Amino acid sequence: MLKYRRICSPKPTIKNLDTLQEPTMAQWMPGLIGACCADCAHCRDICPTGAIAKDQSGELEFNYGSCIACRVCIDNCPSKALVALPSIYAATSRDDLSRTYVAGGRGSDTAEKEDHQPKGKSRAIKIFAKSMHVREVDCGSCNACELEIAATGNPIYDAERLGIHIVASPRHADALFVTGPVTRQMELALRKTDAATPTPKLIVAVGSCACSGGLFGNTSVAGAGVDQFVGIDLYIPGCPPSPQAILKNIIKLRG
Amino acid sequence: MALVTNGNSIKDILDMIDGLKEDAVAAQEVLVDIDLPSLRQIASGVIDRLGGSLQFVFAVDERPGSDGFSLHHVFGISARHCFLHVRSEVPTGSLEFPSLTPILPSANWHERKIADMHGLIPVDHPDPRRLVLHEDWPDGLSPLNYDFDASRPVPRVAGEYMFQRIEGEGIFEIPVGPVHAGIIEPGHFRFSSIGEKILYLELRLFYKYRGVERYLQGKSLLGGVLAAERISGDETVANAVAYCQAVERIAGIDIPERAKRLRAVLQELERIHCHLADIAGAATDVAFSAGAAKAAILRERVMAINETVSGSRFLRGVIVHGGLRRDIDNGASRGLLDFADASRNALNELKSSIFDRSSVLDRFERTGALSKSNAVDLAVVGPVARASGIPTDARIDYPYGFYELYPLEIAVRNDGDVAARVRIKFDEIERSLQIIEDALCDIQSGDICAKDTSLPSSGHGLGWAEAPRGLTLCWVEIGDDGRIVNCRWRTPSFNNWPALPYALEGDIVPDFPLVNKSFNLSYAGNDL
Repeated sequence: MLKYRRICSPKPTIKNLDTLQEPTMAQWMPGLIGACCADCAHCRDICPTGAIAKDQSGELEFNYGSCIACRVCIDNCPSKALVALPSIYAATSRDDLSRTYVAGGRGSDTAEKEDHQPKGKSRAIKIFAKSMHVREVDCGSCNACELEIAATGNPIYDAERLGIHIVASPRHADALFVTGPVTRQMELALRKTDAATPTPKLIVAVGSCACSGGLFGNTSVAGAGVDQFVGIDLYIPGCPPSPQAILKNIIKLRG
Repeated sequence: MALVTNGNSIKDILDMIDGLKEDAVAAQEVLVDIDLPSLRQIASGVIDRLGGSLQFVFAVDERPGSDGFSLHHVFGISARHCFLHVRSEVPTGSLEFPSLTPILPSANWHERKIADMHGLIPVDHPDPRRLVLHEDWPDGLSPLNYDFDASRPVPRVAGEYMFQRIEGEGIFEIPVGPVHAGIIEPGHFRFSSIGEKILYLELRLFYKYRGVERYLQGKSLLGGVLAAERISGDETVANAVAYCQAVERIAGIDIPERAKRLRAVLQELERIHCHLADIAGAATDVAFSAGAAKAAILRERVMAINETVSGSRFLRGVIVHGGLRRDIDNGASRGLLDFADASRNALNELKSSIFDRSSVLDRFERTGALSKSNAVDLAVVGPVARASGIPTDARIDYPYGFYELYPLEIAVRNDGDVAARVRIKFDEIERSLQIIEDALCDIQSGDICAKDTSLPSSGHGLGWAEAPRGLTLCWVEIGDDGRIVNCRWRTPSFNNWPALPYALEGDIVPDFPLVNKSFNLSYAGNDL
């Protein structure tokens, strides 16, 4: 009898994904770490997507779902208080994509060591722990997210060894990876693809456009994110999120 | 700055262009105001007597400040290294302009787009159907007109898109898309085929229409750079360079030598990763997975280098009007040179593993051949044009930045088939590696951004760059407040998409993915 166990790779962990390729800095999302913020509002004014806001209690709120990682706020912060965060923020709800920092205060001294752990939502997620067939739906991205999702399947990241397999039809899919703000002219196709995907299913918003509408979203011809149209199980922001960020967060979510 | 003149006969224009001589290289954009009725005559004169090609047609809504619309036709005159920008006014109260499509097929999509965006009517256009806006868009709403409210949702109306119908015994239609089998962008293809043979292919695109040009109205100059970077992911650098050069030409900014060289390095890195993704895709589409894997590994190496050099795998956040936002330090430069050196062997190995294989050649050769005459008629650009025997490349035809003084030799092949296009891409990667080495070997340290990037006054101008897919063009108009008034884009894919059905004539349906991949067209850049 053949011993299949030897052929299969050991259960992939996040740790061995990290050893594949060291990114210089995760996604270039800004945060307040260690330095003093002068509360000058410059970052809020300059942010092209309005991802930085001040809430009622006077705290600076960074919405990473809207951040397009353009680094304009980091480059232009007069007190050099903004730095790029080394971690990737993904979340199972849109609200969890935000972080608050005390404006005018001193940021935390260390970055959170672990990436934000997306919480498991339903039983469905566990079902796909070892095998997940994915259909990708582009709803108006710039195609960088597509290239990064495609790159997860290349021999470096090799998503297939993690049981993640890209399929040709939503009928065969366990999960949909949706990119782009959902343009008016893709809305129907997205709804149909969603309806054609059998339940239980996972729907993942890949990229900041999908999470919030991004740069071009929220107009008469483009929506303000995929969750306006279909339910989302996981948000992976980034412009675009790296293949590593995509895989890491999928693995975390399904446990 | 553009040279501006009036002229209403082709003779005036010819005289003027003749008078330019060397000056044209400095000007590079010659703006001529003409009367609308003489448009056709002038257009055919420019094509016949100057060897120009119609690259870009757009309209601008000049209301309410002025009367009506202005119409802009941009011809590339590669022999004179300049763009001829012909401007005319659509008379007040009239919404009609003469269509150039009957004499210049390359005007087709441009004019249909203008009809959708502004509600103008191209008179005598052979195919007046909608292009950008789909059938459920209400009549009378023109998204680039000043009176359109871009923040309010547009109601959906009932409507049907009329596909060209090919009828006869044994002919059937195959609808494909917009959601495709692979990880690609959305578009709908309607094949009319007999057996496996394609009789006709109709493209239905613009599912990704995001309203980029509308978005840009009123944005700051920096906001324009960020948007340009996100028009098409794998053309990030080229589109940002095109936009920044337009702004720099308007403002008369001369960027430092170091920035010129580093911009060239970034553009070539982008060309390499775009072409490698394409080669990997072509190998996948002929089921040659080993070759695809090799190309993908090499591409991933480029992406890692991109990240070390710029912090972004797509080289985002580096280019800005006036120069660069961040420098490439000496360590990263050395890494780049090592990479360029080491990649040659890997590239040659990849090339022979693909082209020494009869099973691959059997699919590549004589598949998807685009004839030179079709390519010329449709003003096709980039590697697709060069594979069909047209020696066009913005880096030589309309030299800019580092390429002005660089002795670039472009690769041209004549077969026009998939094999020619893939070979061109290999040739170009080799040259790109050489350009990176040449740009970096004697680079001097210094400023990376012009000190004074303030704008002297309002103005408008063209900007361009050779993207991996070919010439990308944009036109920027800046107002007195230093913000963008209008911005129009024409990425290479917009010119090349209409050529795809012609390349497929006589091919079979299973060849379509391969031919499409070898064209490497961006949906996002096309749809805007």
